[in-house]
Amino acid sequence: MTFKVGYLTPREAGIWDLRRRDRSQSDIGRELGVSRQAIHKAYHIIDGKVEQAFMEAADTNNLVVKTINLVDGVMEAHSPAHDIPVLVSLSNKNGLKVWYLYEGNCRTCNLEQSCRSVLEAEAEERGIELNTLHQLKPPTQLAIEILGRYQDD
Amino acid sequence: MIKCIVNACPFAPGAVKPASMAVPRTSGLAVWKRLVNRKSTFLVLSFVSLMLLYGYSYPSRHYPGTPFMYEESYFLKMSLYTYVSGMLGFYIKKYKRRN
Repeated sequence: MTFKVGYLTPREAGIWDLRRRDRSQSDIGRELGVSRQAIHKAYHIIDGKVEQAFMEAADTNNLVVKTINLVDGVMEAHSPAHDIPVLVSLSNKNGLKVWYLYEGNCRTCNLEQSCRSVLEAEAEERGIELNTLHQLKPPTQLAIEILGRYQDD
Repeated sequence: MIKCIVNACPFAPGAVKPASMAVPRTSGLAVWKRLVNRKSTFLVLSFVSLMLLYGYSYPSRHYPGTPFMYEESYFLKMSLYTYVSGMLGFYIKKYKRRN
């Protein structure tokens, strides 16, 4: 139960993951051996914790929150300090990650491989298939390819 | 809204990125970790178990003139078949779980 994983317990994290995969409350309840009502209650608790984690991430990084997608675990925000849009992602594997939307430039960065591993784990958890073309892209482009789909138009 | 932006970076503009730690890719531990995984362990175990099975059952099953299944590479082939069928089962299970 840490801020990094949205204060979710392992069981709540499991329920949250199943909901993100478009599983119905009845399906999740059947799989975990609990009633649909129990899952419904868990949703409320999970939503509260995920929202709290996002709000604290925004506060820590001085971000202005625009939208929060509690189901997919993505927050859209703006960084007044850098005057650029920001995406914050939450996943079981990577926890909370802040992504600043600007050029980045992976060619001069030593952490390219580390970023790529994080993004591959993010894609896998979100059920996003990465093809060879994706693997050739620098992580800065791959990030927007994976997380950009959760942005509002 | 911000669809025109095609890049995202975990570091804010101008932030000093920490230097990466050099881990030699060919270090002994790294090679060992790459070699020892679930698939290779399964292959080795199936090979060893079938070899033992072959070795222990050979005298009781082998009659002169009837080669039965005991050809030259019986246990090698069987271990490969076991491995392949095991892996097929694994991937089918993974595919089903995903869909």
